Amino acid sequence: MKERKIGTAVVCAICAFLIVSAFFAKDFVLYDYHMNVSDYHYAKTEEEKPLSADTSLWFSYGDAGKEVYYGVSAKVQEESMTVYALTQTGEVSVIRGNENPIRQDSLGHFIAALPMTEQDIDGDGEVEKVYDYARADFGLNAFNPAPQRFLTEDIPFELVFAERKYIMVYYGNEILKGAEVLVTSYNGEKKRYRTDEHGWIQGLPNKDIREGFTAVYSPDGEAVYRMHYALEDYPYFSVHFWNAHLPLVVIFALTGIGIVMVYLIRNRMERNNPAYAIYSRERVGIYPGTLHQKTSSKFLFVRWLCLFAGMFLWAYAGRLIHQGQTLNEVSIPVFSCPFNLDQVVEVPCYYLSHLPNLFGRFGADFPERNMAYGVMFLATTLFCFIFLGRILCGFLCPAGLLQDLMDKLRQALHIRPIAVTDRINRFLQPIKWVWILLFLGFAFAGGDFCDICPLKGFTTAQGGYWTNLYLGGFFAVVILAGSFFIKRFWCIICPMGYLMGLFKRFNLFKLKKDCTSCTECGACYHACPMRIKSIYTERDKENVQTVDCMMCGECIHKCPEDNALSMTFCGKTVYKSSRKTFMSKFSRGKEE
Amino acid sequence: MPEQNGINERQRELFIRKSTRVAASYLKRAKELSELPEAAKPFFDVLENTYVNNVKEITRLENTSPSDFTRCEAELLHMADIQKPEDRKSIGTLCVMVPAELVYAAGAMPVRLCSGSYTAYSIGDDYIPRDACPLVKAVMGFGKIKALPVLDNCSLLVAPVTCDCKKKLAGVIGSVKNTVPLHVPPLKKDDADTEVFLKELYRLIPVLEKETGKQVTAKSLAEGINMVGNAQYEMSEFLKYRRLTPALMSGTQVMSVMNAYSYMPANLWAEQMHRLNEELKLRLSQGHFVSRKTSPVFS
Repeated sequence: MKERKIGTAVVCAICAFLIVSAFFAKDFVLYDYHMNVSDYHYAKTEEEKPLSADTSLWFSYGDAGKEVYYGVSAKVQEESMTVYALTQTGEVSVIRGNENPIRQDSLGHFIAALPMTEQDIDGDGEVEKVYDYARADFGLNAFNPAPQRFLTEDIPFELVFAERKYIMVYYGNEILKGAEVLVTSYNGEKKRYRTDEHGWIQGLPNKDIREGFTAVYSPDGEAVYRMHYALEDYPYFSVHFWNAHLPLVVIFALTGIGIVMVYLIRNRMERNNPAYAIYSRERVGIYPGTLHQKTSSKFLFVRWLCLFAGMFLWAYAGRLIHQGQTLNEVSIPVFSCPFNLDQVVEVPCYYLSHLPNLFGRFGADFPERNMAYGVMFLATTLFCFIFLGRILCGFLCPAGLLQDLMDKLRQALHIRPIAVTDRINRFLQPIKWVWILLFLGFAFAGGDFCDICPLKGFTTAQGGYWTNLYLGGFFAVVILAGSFFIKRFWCIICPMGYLMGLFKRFNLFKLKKDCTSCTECGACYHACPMRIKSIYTERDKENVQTVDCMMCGECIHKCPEDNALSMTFCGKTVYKSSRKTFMSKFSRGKEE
Repeated sequence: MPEQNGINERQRELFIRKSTRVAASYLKRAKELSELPEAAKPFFDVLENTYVNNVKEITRLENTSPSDFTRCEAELLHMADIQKPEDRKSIGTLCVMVPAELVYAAGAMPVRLCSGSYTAYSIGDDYIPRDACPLVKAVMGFGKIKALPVLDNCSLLVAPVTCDCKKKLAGVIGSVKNTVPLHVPPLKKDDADTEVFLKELYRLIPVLEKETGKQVTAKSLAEGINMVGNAQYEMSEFLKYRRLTPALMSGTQVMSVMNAYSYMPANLWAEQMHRLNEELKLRLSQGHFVSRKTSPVFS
């Protein structure tokens, strides 16, 4: 009884700490990149004019981040440049000359303009009026999917990066539809494009946008508008890319310390345990040659493959499969941080934890796009919740992969796990409810869930995006150290996982049990990372899927009876237990 | 005639002669039932060795003068012990709850002692409470008359306390045999029960180690698990052939083959079983059945 009282007190303390500290999340800084625009360095470039610049002025960036450069052609006077900057209040501030335009309230969107010149661009013998512009989008706010437009009379021709995918063209402060635009790519090639009814340059590849391009538009042949667009974007394996991994290094270093601490504390606590005397003689592991452990299970192999593919999809594929795909709006509920705004498929955790923002993604001026995005988001999220359910937890979630890898690491180091017994599982449930409360409700209390999210920044950092980590980073250390000793520790308390499990009756993937084949050995219960007991104690019903079951298939793999447990997809059996698979572990290996 | 532990010498000799004769006749009949597979013969040899073979040990009595026409040699009849390596100790187990893997890991050999005989039962009846089952009384009886080397040569008896009778046995047989009880929880549902059982096993390990003088290490435990697992694998393969109708092998012979597991090291049993499985596979492919299609099946 005394144990129970101490346990209850500890759990209450943990829950209270979670809720209270959530409001002070930004005070615990794990890693801050200081990506505010005011931290950027502004200077004239020392490099030559890039191939993509068909204008007389351009912007470029330093390799390591936080550096913005402007450049002008040889015959241009720098003092004649005018820089327009968007500010936080919504106004456009004007800076003349080559003075540093970066102010405290700058948003990171700059358009530089030169006075009109008269040149013969198209070689027809007549001079045209040429207006040269250059645009730079950099800093934290450049990640905003809503199009950031200047819409000022001083800039009649404007290019805007919209939805992280398209270039919108404005002329005379209105969307330019159905017009022909000449684009110079990053490598100097020129190609003609047309704009569509949204004003997007139709068919412009992702690479061209990201590496800098120039768009040239002439409404009547006499006036030519040229704008060079430089988006702050860094390719893979640049210095900026490696810098993005620094928070992960910090997290893993702290995790290592945490693991060692837990290991030593556990050794200390177990001194009176008779088992300790035996374990202390040696470290327990699987010795080669003694136990023929490798049962070939195609199911588990497929599962590992899917997990790795999912991680690749969310972390790295964003730059490879991107422009113009509707796929980007499909949302699949896993915990891959959507701070990587360029990821191939969307992840609902941001909007589920910031429900008030759901229909406001692109800003107040684009109600149709907002509605289209919101509807698609809800439809795909609900589809995945209802029909796919928690198989995504077992097969696609990058956080799941991370935890499984920590578990494998523990096995490689021959360290005993911590068993989650009934008692510990009961004490973890209130923590799960606190996470659900924070996940869904924190936005309504005025907080930002992303600051306490323990999984923020894993797939973003891998993709090379700089993400600031606050209190959530420390929680990540706890989660990783916990999942080293306890298999799939986060999954037991994951809020999104619980929400996905609620619709288990409608899932296409189901877990079934044949209670007459079951001999009640309990192997399934001991194999289950979610510690589901009912799969072992159920004696009558066929359907044993619970809210917690994440369809990892461990129970089926360990079941020694034929067909006692099986996983079905739309009624067809996908994976079922067999005695032969179980027993063949102990065959001599000669014949089977 | 001096009385020895409840029965005298003459009665003991009679008991041994009768038991071995009865055992021999039953085993002979079992062997002669429908065609015995070749590979099953060694199993019967083991059973015969345990229950049929007996040796006469002749000891010269001291302190008799040559003119004394009473007996100067004492003939003591023994039954033969099971065949096991000289340096291996045997640990007697009752019930399946004692993990054989653990006993192998400690360097010993487990021997299953659940069996019975009516004579031994009546001897043990004097020591065990009235309402206990005949099996337990027979074990006690054998312990007292010291006629069964399988039991007598065990250095330790591990008795899981899973029924009331064995609870009583564990207490009483301590007078003739070194016994250690194993407290197995009745239900497996709560995690607390599993933890209790685990603690019991950890309590058993030092006792086993003290008997054999060898340590239980992870490696030896892995080897023990592998050995018993292999035996279980061969058993599961055997059962597949056992299930077929018409039958490939007579049921009594099946029982005898499985009975031999109690008196053999698991790896030898598994090896022999492997050969038996191969032979049954051959029989199946040849269509060589030992019963008719219309024979009733008791399963």
